[in-house]
Amino acid sequence: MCFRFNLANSLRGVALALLVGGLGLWLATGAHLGFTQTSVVTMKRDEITGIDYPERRAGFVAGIEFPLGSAGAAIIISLLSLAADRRNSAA
Amino acid sequence: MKIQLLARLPLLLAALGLSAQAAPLTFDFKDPKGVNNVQFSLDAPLESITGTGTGISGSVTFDPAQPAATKGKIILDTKSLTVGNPMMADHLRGGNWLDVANHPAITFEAVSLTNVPTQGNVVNAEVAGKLTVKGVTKDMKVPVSFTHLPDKLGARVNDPKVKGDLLVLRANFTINRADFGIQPGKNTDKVAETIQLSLSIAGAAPKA
Repeated sequence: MCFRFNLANSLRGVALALLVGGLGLWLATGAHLGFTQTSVVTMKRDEITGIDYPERRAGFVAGIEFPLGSAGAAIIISLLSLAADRRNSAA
Repeated sequence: MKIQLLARLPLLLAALGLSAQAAPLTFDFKDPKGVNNVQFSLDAPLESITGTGTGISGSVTFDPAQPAATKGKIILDTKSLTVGNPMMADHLRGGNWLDVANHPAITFEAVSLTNVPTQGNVVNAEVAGKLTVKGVTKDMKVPVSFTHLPDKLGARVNDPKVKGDLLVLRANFTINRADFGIQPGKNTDKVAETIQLSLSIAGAAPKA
């Protein structure tokens, strides 16, 4: 069996992986519409005073830049794959 | 004469006791449990920002029998203000925004209380005072609820030997960043002009 490397298809695969990866990570961490957060807040209540207070701990929440950035990168790589296709056809 | 004085002694002692009970208490808002907090939120078209501040100190003199005479000052350490995004937190504390290096505190000093209805141990009042942010002081009226919790300090610090009262203050109000010279009219698509503030703090007045 002979495996022939196809640059255009490889680029399309990378673009698809980026798109799915970026969108998947964003959805998996809560589809946060703001920028990426590296700490998250959980609200707790002090029993005696009844005060609700935030407890901040390290945590990762992917921001909107993940799906947007991965979509942008996927578009650029897809365009490169088209260019690679044309180069192959011309050759 | 001596007999008369002796007969009146219990009354005198009771009166002294009552006056001691009714004396104004000074509550210290430096909270060792780290529960005292201010939460802020800004809703701009491109980004909603929420954050917290926990470095609260100050003192309030509160008389349960005369809540309208309440006075005090609450201080927020600006370095304790933070948001979930580290770059945004750096910007928040930086020279263009809160400039925490030169303005280490946000303060509110209560001057007078009006509209002071009391329900049980809860006093709701409109507190007129001076709010200072980034070196700019403005007169403000803030609706505040005071909850007096007598003899609850021991339970709070898990030591029944510690005697004292607690005073819980809650306030929700809005300020405009432009009023305090914080980038007026700039970046309004990302950083809203109005800032919603929610304050929940408890102070302690230990008894000797």
